[in-house]
Amino acid sequence: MSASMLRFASRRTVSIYNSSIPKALNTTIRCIATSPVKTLTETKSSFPDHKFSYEKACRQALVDNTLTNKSDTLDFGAYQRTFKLTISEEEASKIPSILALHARLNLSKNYQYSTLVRSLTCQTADSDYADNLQMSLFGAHLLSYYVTEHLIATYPRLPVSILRNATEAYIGDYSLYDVAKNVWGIEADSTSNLEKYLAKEPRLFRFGRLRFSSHTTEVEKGITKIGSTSELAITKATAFSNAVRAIVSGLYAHDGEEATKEFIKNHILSRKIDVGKMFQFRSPGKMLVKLLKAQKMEAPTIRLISETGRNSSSPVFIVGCFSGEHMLAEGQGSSLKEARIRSLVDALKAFYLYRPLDPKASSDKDFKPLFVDAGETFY
Amino acid sequence: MQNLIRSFNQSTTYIGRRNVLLSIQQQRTVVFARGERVRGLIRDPEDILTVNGHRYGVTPENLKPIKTYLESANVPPLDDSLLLQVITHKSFAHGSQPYNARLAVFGEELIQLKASKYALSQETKNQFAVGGKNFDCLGSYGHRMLFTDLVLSSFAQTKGFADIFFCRVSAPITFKNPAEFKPKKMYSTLTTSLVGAIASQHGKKVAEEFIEREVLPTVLTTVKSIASSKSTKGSEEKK
Repeated sequence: MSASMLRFASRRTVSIYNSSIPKALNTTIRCIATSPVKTLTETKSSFPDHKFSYEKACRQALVDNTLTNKSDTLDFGAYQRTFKLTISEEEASKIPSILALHARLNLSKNYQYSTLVRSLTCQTADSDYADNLQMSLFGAHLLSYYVTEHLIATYPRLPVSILRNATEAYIGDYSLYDVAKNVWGIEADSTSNLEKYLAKEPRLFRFGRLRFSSHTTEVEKGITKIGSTSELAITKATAFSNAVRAIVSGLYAHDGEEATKEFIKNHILSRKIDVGKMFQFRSPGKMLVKLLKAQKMEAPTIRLISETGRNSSSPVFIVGCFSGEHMLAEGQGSSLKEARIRSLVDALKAFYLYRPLDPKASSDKDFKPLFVDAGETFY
Repeated sequence: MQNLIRSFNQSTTYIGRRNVLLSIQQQRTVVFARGERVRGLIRDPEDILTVNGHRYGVTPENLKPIKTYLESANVPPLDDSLLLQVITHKSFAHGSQPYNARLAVFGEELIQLKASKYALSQETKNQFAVGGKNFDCLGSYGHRMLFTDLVLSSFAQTKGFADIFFCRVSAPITFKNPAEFKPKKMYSTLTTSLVGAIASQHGKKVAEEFIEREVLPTVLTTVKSIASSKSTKGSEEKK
């Protein structure tokens, strides 16, 4: 394989040749294969990672040297990280943005201001303050459970791949970034120490903003400096989403699980996502035939229901997709082929997006046994 | 390899309302292959539906291991067809039978959450604890091990309900005894899907009680033994 060929090879293709290529050369190939900016902003991984951002958040690992004890002990109460400083409740209650955030989220009196401060503090190399790393980890567990539970109860036939995509749409990094920035109004601490000094801002006020080591810094409007020497640098979306996750876990610590569930329902699950648009069928006809066969139903037939202007420039055909005498779905289009494909896709979606009346999640008080689907047929 | 020859006759049909009988007699021979895979031949469906001598289906023999375990664990009864789904992996019979993937996803999320809640429920004197919960333990090796495929598959095998598992595994060529090849990623779905099935039929509370009473004690013992063997190895290497 020549160098010019390698330049255009995708990451996936290159990984096939990994065993035969020396380690040093292998690293070079990865750099060539990705965008030049990406290599500057992202840490190179030894193997490709196909996890969703919410899955990565659930599997964050703690580096051993940040602990004062052994990391394999099962006495979980004895764990202690190497924090030295924290913002007290009294100090936190003097920060206007923290008070505003507390009120905006309608948090209870039990929820301490200092917990909000910690939720906005990401792990950085030069800080001794208690950070939100592990709080965000637990928040990710809470969020992923309640969102999965909601989706399984609402759409019991959703294929696993779509289920994961839908969960990502609810609690992925970019979704939570949007919640944190545009709904909750959390601000990043992007001003320099000089600007803070000139603005005569009290030192404490910076703890009311989200602080993290960023891959990029905006030097001035329109100019972004790329590159960070810190290993703990994270993207803006990850930092904001971790803050949301940490706030959720803070709620669990202060108000209990029931209040947390209600909070997730109000702030995360209340956001509408279009699950139907996540489906992409390559050959809907074949898939529907397989599906109906698995369901022991008759093979699909397409019948023309009505048409208008067949010979005109804008004809409209309405067809129905039938299994025996049952109409599964209706499709319309400017050609018979388009109408047929639409009806097939709608028939598949009608099956996979089946929704029980008044769905109840397994943690609800008036829970009823859920409908368990057999799983999507893939062969 | 054993070949099986089957013949098919196409049935007769009446056309329209007229009394015209169209009879098409057509005979074709299909050769099914059993045992080892033969390229180009169709596998006998009976062979596909049988694993280690167990024919797929809702039968007392198939459900005996999992039912025995659930009775001993005082778990409220689950439907037989659901139990069969729990012990069926999507690799079995090309995914044509109900399988446990979605239940496993649900159960995995619950086990993960419950393991973290268990870690947080331990008493602590850490000054940086939030609301009495010591978040410092999360993400550590000990905490992450509580819900790994390794310990969850080990749980299913220890409790005996992995004895009958409808799945299709292909052991690596280098593996000495292919019958004993049990991929942890696949076998962990037995535990996770069982938890998912309990949660979906009896609610989160019952499933959490099951995890706390049955899964976590076994998992903690496994993690302890793994950690001790790891530290022994480490000290030997240092020497």
